[in-house]
Amino acid sequence: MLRVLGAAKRFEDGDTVRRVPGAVEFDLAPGRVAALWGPSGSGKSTLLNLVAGVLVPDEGEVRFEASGEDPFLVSAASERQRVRYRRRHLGFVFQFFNLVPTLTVVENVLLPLELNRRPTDRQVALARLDALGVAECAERFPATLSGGEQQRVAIARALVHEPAIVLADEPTGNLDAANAARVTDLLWQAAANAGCALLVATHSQRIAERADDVIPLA
Amino acid sequence: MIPLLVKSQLRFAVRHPVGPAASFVGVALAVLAIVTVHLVSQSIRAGLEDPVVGGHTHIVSGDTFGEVDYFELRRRWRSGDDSLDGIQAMLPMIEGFVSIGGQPRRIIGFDPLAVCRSCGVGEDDPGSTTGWRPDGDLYPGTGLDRYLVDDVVIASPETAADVEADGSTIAGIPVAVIESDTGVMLADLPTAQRLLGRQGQLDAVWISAASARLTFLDRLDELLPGIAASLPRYAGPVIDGYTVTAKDVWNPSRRFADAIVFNLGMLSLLCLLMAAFIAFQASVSNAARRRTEHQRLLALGASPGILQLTACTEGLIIGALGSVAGLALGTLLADALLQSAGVGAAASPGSGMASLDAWIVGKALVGGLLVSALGPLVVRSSPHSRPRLRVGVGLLAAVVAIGGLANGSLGAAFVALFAIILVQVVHVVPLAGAAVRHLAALGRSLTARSGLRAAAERSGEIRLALGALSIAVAVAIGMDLMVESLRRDFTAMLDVRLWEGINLSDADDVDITTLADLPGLRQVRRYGGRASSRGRWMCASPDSMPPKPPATASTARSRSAAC
Repeated sequence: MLRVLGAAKRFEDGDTVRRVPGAVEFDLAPGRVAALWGPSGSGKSTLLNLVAGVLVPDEGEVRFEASGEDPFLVSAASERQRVRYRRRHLGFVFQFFNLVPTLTVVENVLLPLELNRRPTDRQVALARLDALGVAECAERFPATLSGGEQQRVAIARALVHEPAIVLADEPTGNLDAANAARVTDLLWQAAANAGCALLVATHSQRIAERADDVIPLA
Repeated sequence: MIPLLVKSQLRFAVRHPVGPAASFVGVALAVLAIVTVHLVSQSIRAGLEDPVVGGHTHIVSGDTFGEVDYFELRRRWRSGDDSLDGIQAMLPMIEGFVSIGGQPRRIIGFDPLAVCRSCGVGEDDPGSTTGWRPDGDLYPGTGLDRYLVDDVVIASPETAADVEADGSTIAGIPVAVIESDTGVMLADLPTAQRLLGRQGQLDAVWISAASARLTFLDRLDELLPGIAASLPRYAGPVIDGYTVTAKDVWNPSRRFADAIVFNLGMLSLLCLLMAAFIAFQASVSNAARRRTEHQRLLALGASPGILQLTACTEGLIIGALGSVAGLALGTLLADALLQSAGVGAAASPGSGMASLDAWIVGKALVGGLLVSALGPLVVRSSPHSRPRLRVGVGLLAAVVAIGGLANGSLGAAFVALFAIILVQVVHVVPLAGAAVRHLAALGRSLTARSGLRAAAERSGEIRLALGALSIAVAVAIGMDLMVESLRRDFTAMLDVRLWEGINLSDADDVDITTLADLPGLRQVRRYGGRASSRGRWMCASPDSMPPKPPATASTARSRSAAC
C-alpha cells in the first residue's frame, strides 16, 4: 500500500516560490493501476521521483507499507534506507527506456536481481523477455534495438524482481501509436500477472482512461 | 561487489578508451617517478657517502681529545651512565695523511676490538680466528662491519714498517689494491698513531646512537628518499664535557647527497601530484560521461557507494597495469640515467640493470594504486559539491602556504608550493568560472555569450590544464630552490672536502702570509666557510702538484672544482 499526502517540492524562481505538484493525496493498493494525468510541467515526474525516494519532499509525506512489514515513511528516511526501499519494492519504466547501454538485454533484466543480491537465473530473465516477445534479443545490446523493443525490455527489467509497485514515467511517450498501444497492453498485463500496483505518469487521455484511478495534476 | 556493474564499467572503458588511457598514463608516470627517483637517489647516496665508513650516526669530540677521554667515555658507557643511553656502539678513531710511495694517502685508525660494549677476545675471539684479512667480513660478531662500507686493507703493526720502508706493498698486497678502491687505508689505532706521529692522541669517537626519532627519520627516508634531510635532525645524546656532532654535519658530502636526494624527492612528489591530477581529471571526465547511466542505476536501486566502488575497481585495474608499466619504464630510465652518468651503484651484479628490491616494488605498486583510486574517491567526495568543506580545505591550504613561505626552509617552501596548488584548484578555478559566467552577460553577440557561458559551465573540466599550469610554475620555482640549495651545500662541501695533499688541518694558528711566501706555492687562502672540531681548513696550491689518486667520478668532480 502506497499513501501520498500532499508531498511536494518547492522551487524558487526569482521572488516567487512554486510548489510542485499541487496538493495531491491518494492511496494505491496492490493490484491497482493509478494514472498521474496532466500536462507537461504539472509535476508528474516530480511526484514519481518523490514516491521513488529519489527526491525528498519539502512538505507532505510519502508512506509505504508492504505486507508483513512495518510502515515505511519514505519522505523521512535516510538515503541508504530509500535506496534499499527503491531496490526491493519498486520497478521503473522510463520514457527514454533507460537501459544500461553497456549491458546486454538479458544482463539488463538480471541487474535488479543482482542489486537485490538474489540468484541471477538467466532462465527467469529469458522467461520474462519471452513473455514480452523480445527473447530473441537477449544477447544484443540496447543500442541495436528499436524503441518498442527497448521499452519491452524495460518492462521485463521492472518486473523481474517482483516489486510491490511499478512506476512508469510516460512509458509510451517516445513510441509511435502502434508500439505505444502494444507496450501499454503488455505493461498492464504484466503488472496484473505479477499482482503489483502500477503508477503511471502520462499526459495521454487514452492511457489515463485505462487506469483504475486517475489523479489529475494541474 | 556487483559483477554486472563491474562488467558494465569495464565495457564502458573499452568503448571510451581515452579516459582510461589518460589514467593509465598518469599512473605509469607516477610509478615511473617513484621508481626512477628511488633508484637514482640510492645511487647518489652510495656515491657521495663516505667511501670507507658509514655505520656511525654521531661523532663525539672535544677541544683536547685524547685516549684518556675515550677511556672515560667507555667507562661511563659500560657503567650505564644515563647520558650515554641509546649508544649502541663506540669506536675511537684517528685520521690523517701518510706518505706512501711519495704520495699522500688518507689513513683512518681505530680500535677494532672496541666496537661493542662488552665483547672481548674470549667471546668472539676475533684476533685468533680471523686475523688480518684484506677483504671479507672483518671480525664477525664485533659489529665492526657496520662501519665499513667498502673493501679496505687493514695495515697491521707488523706491516707498518713495510709501509714506511716501501710504499709498494702492505703485507704482501700491492698498494695498488688500496688505491683502486678508495685510496683510503685503515689501520689499527696504535699503527695509525705511529704512522701519523700522534701517539696517544685521538680525533674523535664514532658512536652509533639509537632513538625513536632516528628510527622514524630512517623509515621516512625509505618511504621518500631525502625527505628526512628537510626535517630537524636528531642532535644526538648530550654528553657533559664533549661535543656531539651528527654525522652529516661532520661530513658535508653526506649533506650534499641529502640535498640532491631531497630535491629529487620533492620533484618526484610534484610528478606524483601531476599524475594524480591526470588520473583525477580522467575520473571526472569519466564520471561526467557516465552521469546519465549512473542516474539510471541509482533509480534502479544501486547505491552511490556501490557505484563508487565499481569505479574504484576500474581504477585499480588500470592502476595495476599502469604500475607494472611504470615499474618497467622507471627501471629502464634509472638504468639509462646511471649508465649515462657513469655510475653503476644501483646495478645488480651481472644483470647490468638497476636492481629492484621488494621495498621499491611495493612502494611503486601502492603509489600507483593510490593514484588510480584517488580519482574515483575524490569525484564522489569532491569539495566542490560541499561548500563548507571547500572553504575549510582552502583556508587550511592558505594557512599552510603562508606558514611554509614564512618558515624559509627548503622543505617548508615545497610544502607551501603544494598548498598553493591546492588553493588554486579548490578556489581559483571555481572563482574563475564564476567570473566568466558574470562576464558572459557583457558579451555583445549571442555567440560570445553562449561561448563564455559554456566555458563557465565547463570550468571544472579544464582543471587539468590549470592544475598542470600550476605544477609547471611550481616546478620552475622548485628548480630555482633546488639550484640554490645545491649551490649552498656544494660550497659547504668544497670548504671541507678538498683534495688530500693540498689541505692543512688545525690551521687556525698558521700565519697565512708566511705560508704564502714559501717557495713553490702559487696560492694560499683560508677556507672559512665552516669550522670543524679539527680547526679551519686551508688550501695551498703547490707549483708542482702530485698526480691525483684514482677516485670515483663524484669525488673527482669535486676535487677539480677545489682551489
